[in-house]
Amino acid sequence: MDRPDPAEFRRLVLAELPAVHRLAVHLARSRERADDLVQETYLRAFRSAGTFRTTEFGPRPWLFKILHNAWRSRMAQKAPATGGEEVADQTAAPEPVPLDLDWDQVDERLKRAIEELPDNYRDVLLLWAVEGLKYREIADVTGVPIGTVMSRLYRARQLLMTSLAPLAAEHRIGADVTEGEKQEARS
Amino acid sequence: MNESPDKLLAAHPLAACADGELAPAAQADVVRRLSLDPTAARVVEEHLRLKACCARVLSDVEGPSDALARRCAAMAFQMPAEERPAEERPAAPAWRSPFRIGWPTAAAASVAFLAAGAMTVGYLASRPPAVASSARGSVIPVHYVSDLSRVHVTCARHLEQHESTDWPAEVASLRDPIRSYLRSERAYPDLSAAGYRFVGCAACGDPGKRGQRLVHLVYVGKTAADTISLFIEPDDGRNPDIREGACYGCGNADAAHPMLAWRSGNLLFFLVGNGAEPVKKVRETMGLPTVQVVAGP
Repeated sequence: MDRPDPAEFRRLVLAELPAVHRLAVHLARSRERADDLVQETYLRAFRSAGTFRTTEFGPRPWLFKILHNAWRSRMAQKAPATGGEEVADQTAAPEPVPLDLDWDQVDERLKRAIEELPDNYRDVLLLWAVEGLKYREIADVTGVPIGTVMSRLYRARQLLMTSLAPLAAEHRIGADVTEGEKQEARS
Repeated sequence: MNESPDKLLAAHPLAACADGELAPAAQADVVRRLSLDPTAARVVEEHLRLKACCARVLSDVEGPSDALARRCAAMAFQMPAEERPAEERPAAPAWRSPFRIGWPTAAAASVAFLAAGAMTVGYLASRPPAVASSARGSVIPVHYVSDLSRVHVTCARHLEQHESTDWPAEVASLRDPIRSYLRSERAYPDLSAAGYRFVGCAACGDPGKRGQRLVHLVYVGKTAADTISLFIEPDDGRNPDIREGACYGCGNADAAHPMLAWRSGNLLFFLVGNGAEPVKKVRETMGLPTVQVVAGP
């Protein structure tokens, strides 16, 4: 892996500002705190320029990792970690059954459901869905084992689908009513 | 509990398939299964739909402001000297610093060299107690670090422009103008005691647009590369975490421009230098408390 020349390094990391900012907004849940977090991230990034190596994924995961470290430092000041995370064994859990949702109607419900996710799950979900990182990259960014990433992601999806399930029921009822109305009209 | 990744992938092949996380052979097996099992195919489709919907609702975030983009771009000055583009390393000045207010160039002869330890403007008598304190990134607001470091770097490259005629050229004569400008009777340090030569003083044009009055004193050591900036501003209550009697540091051991911050009454002081050693030397000479420097990423 190569080190880009300094001008190229600066160009690469600054090009990631929208993505870094977006993740910071989601983590900090406030634009003001996010701005401060982004600046801290770039400050650390430029000071650590010598540690960056070009990868096939570019500097995004590297910046995300710095962002996460900065965020964790801040959280640790507010509420020191109290212990390890317990994630239930999910190897025995069955594959989910399809809900048959109307995916054009789920946005608001989904947004609320994501907001209600525990931070650890939401964090992994963001990196997976929005930033398109692979499990291994998410593990590197968040500093947790890849198995934990997969468990959290599995659990996050499960919680979201549970939250969306009532919509599926409404959708089915709506479809039945529409079908019934059609039959009534035909008769 | 952390299960092994392989076990988890095997337990949830449809999710792993949708995420493109399976090995090619396993992926091919699942794809074969999907062609025979419509329910499994719907599950995979639902995984993909969920991911797309999450991406859609979570991407709906207003982008970074221009001010934030500018501040981040300016932080490139924080790169260690050997990592910076050649054109950003100290070089002959080609332009005038945009941060100065009323800085006509003056003759180099007007720069006063003050004997080491001669002038302290009463600061050493009121220096903070020598107690150790730790610093976290949030104590010194990040934009202070970036903005003031940027001003320091810019000004250090154009020392000849700091020989002002607007402000007294001798540090001893600065006392009243600075007190009047900052509206504070508090004393401030003179770095001549640490072997630095006073180059000039100016009221900075509010870098970072913080709405603050800010005085910038520039000192130079034995070489032009050894420059120290001392920024002084009145605290308007926005920095309660900078406590009296403590000294805060920002920048790890090999930071290009480490910064110290401390408080004296209603005045906040920020000192920026070119490297850890000069900053440490100045701190020790001034009798500031020990600093626990914020670590890098």
